[in-house]
Amino acid sequence: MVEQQQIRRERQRRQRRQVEGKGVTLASDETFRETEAQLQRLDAAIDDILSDPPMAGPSVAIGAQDRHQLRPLTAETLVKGFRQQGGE
Amino acid sequence: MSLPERDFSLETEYAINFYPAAPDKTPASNVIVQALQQGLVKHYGLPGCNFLVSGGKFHHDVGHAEWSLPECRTAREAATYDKAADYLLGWLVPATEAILSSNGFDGRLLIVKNNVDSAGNTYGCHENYLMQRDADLLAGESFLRYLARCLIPFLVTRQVFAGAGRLVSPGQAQRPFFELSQRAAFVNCVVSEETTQSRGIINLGREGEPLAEGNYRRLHLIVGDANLSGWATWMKLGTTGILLRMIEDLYIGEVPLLQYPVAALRAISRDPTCRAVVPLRDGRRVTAIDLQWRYYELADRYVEQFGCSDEENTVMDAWGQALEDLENDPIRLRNRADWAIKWRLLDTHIRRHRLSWDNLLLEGPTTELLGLDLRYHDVSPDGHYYQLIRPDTLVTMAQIEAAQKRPPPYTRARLRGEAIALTRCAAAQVAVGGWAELTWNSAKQRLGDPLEFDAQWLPADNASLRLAIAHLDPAVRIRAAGYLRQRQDPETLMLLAGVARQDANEQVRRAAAVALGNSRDTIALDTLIACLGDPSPMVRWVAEDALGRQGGGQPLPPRPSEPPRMDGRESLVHVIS
Repeated sequence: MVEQQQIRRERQRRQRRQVEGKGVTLASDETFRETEAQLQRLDAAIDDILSDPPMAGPSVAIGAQDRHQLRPLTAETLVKGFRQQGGE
Repeated sequence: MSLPERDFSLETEYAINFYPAAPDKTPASNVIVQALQQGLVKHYGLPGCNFLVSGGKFHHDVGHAEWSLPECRTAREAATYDKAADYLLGWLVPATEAILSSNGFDGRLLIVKNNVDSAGNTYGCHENYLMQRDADLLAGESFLRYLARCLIPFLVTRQVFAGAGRLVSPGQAQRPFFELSQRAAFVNCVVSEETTQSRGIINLGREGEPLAEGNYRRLHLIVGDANLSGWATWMKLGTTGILLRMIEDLYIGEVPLLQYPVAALRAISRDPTCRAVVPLRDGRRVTAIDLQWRYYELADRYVEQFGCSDEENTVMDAWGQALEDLENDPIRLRNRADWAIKWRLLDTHIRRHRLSWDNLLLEGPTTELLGLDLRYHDVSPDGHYYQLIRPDTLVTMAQIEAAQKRPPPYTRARLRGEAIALTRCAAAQVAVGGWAELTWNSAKQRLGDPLEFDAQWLPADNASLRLAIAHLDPAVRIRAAGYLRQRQDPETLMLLAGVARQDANEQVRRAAAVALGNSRDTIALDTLIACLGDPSPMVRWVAEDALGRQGGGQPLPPRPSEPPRMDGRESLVHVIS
């Protein structure tokens, strides 16, 4: 039943695209492979972040702005000092 | 059925937190915002003005830095301008730290796009949608009731793809746990008039503000999270926009009504497996994904029947794909949904330290986890989102840079943004009084219609109008034809003639014919004569009317060799002749 529903949805989406003729195609296998590659890249990036956390170093300069070196922040400082006024 | 026209915008309260190098040397929040404004004014604004060349606004509001997006025609455009704001603020952090340091405040500045601080204070990311004030058969309170009835189950459940994710800290709960939504715990009623003491799933307190006039209302939603993922912002706005079209057309009949909407919002938020069931008024129990599928299928039928824009078509595809992924494995959304990306980050940390979500309170280094959660929302290049996904899940760097420099081209934001840009290069003098008015070279100009994108007082820009008349959105083409009506040069007339003869949309052909009706040029007359043979009665009628007026009692121009089709309605020319 669920499978039939999914087939119907997929067919509807394909039909809509064909009617509109905008040249968009959905190759399910291709989309799946692309998503898998993205997920693997993300998992690898997460591993990198956890191995070498940012903001443990000085703040970084971007572009042509002046370099402004400041001390690193620990997670504890970051979290305990994070206070805001209620907004809206 | 009228062509749908809408604008989308967001008002995001960014948390600004300063970590002083020396104790008790913390600047007030307005001082930090002023330092940020210095950088913005230098590159993108005017001294003493909160509005920017993008048409958006940045100002200090209740202890926060608030960024209001310019009026955008599509959800994708709004998501792009939202991302441009994140990048600008992140880019300004080192320069702002330097400014603060020169004023005696050494320390680090953290700009965070989330909705809760470590003490449990909340702040918003408010959504604004321009929509019809009334529907054909429902007006006033009746239409509002219908709107709320149709929208609430959708808003309660859309967090499965639009939630920003939150690790609830030990100070705020008996034990830490992960929520899909940052805001769910702070919403305490179904409909609210205000935004601080009572926070509703739907907020009706901003109806009177000048962001919508005449036939439009401003739907103001405060239930949503501030998203880092451009995909999530786009989906949040895009799916809601499709639903609003269906509501304006009174298309939605029965939707499953939640027994306890606020309790359901919280229950769904507390279950990252997305399998929590919530009760309906009819006694059934459903998951958030079930309800989202119900809305998706309604929307799918609607767009099949009435058509949709390219943008809406893409939203539908992404919506269906997201629901399929959520059904199979919710964490497959970790390449696009904020909550899933963050959950994966935290879960990887937990597994690395041989912990589990269950024993987190007893054994877990929760400060590290809370730090990871917080750093996810940091808009600087140090932020975890930007370290994981760069530049974004939706938009390219070129699009982000363009959105920092230029306003959306097809709303009144263009008038505001271009006026500011011209003043920056000393080509004009403008003072922006608010969203709906500005002073242009000493003359007050009203910007009453949020969807207007051209005005007599702004220097003529034929290139922009040529782009507008070829835009994919027929509503933009119709407005462009209206603006071109004022111009009678041969190039404009040729352009309008092509549209009147060839545009696929009859309402656009009609608008072009109306615009040509002002001219006595032979290009216009020939085109109007050709329009007498248009398959659409509304185009033929306009052509007949214009030719009649042009004739001024004189004989009408010769009829085309092929007589116009009658289509069940007698042609006026036929009757006259």
